[in-house]
Amino acid sequence: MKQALFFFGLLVSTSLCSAADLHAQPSPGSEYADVSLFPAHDVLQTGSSSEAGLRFDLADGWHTYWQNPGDSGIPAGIEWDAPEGFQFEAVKWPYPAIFREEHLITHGYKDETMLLIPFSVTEGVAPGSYEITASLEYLVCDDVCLPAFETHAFTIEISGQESRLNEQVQDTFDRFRAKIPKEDHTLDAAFTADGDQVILRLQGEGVPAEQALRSIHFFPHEDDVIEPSAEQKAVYSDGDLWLELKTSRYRSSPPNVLNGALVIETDEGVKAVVLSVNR
Amino acid sequence: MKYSISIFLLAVMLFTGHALHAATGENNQAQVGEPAPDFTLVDSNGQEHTLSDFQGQFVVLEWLNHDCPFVRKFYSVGEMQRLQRHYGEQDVVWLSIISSREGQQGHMTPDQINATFEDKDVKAAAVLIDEPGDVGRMYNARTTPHMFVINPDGVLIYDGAIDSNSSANPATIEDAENYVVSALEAAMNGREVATPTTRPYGCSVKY
Repeated sequence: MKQALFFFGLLVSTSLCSAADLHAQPSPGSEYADVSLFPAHDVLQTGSSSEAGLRFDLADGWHTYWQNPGDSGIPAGIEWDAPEGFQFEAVKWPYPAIFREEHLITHGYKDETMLLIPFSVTEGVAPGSYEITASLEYLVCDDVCLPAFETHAFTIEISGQESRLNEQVQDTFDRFRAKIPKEDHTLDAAFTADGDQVILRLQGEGVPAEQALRSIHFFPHEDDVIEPSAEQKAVYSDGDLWLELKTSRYRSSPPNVLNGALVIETDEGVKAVVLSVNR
Repeated sequence: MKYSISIFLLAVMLFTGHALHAATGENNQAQVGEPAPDFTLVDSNGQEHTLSDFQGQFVVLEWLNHDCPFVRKFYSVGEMQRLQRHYGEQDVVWLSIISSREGQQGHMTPDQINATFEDKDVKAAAVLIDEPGDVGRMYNARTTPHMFVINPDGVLIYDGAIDSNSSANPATIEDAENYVVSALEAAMNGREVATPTTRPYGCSVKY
């Protein structure tokens, strides 16, 4: 038991050390992004869940990165410092845009974006006011790249009574939640891989009509699966849509599974679909 | 969901004309496990260096841009210089390469390169100027830093990130695995390189 306590103490002090390191770091990128952190709820009933929003308002001409940044760049990294009983899940990322620099391609956001982070509070958490702190590292680039190291915090009330949404931020949450890639059961996906060639086949009602398709791009979640700068040729055959991808040069063998976001733009707008396909 | 052979053949037919992967590093593109593409570049002192002249020695290629925060991560705390000196003492030829186009970030005149070399106490064997970016493209250099390790037989044994933590914070260097060190130590001791490629992290090379 003593060992466990010692270890826990070590863990806590280590995380405090990182926060201290962060404060010592110059943060030139902060000048080009206005970042804010806020929960979806003002009051959260103990034993339930909510979402935190990490909003980036970017200066003109500057962009930041998606979970798979592409040929260069790094995604935002968040370390949570929360009281016992609070559990933060993986970030939900709105679908990215493509940025080109010569032949290099990166994936990210310009103007504004918001990352959504689900979190939950166990039944055991006593009613009261709690502060959550996030240590954040991110990268903003125009022609040049600047790192940012910031600390953000929010306070939330945990209650034995019903939860209460923060009405002021719901529109923002709705707007960016809509951009998170979703499952689409009208789209049936499969792929084959051979050497450095990956061919994704899409079937079903959800396949966009050829005349209506403006663009389609597959963004893998991991940064070493598909070559970001390889052109993704789309071909229709018998109502099926085939997309040619290229295996990342940083893989020793073709992928066995494709996890990522398929972003489809048609005359009607943009649809972002989350795919998880086995070979 | 598995394909039948015929569907796969249909797929291949749809994409005829697509060059199949050349495992041998043809088209002079760098490929781990294959001979590293040969090149000749001029350094900041006007001296030519040809890669194949270094047969018999390990060679490290370090893509460089001193204004990139990820390069500064290593130079600001003296870590890159330490690696350069440490392996230089073991007869490893450490070559920094700048592929930045004139007018782009990272580009420096030979005088600027030499001044920076002094200021930052750089211990690389030479800083090579790859201004048209031909060697960078040949090696698919994407980021600064982007690291390559070539063994004494001229074979490329590592291509990728300098280490395992892509943060721009130098405090993360200590606990990260340095892939260049891992590759050199393995190969120098007759062991297989455990991690021959990783996705490099950094700022994009400014071609």
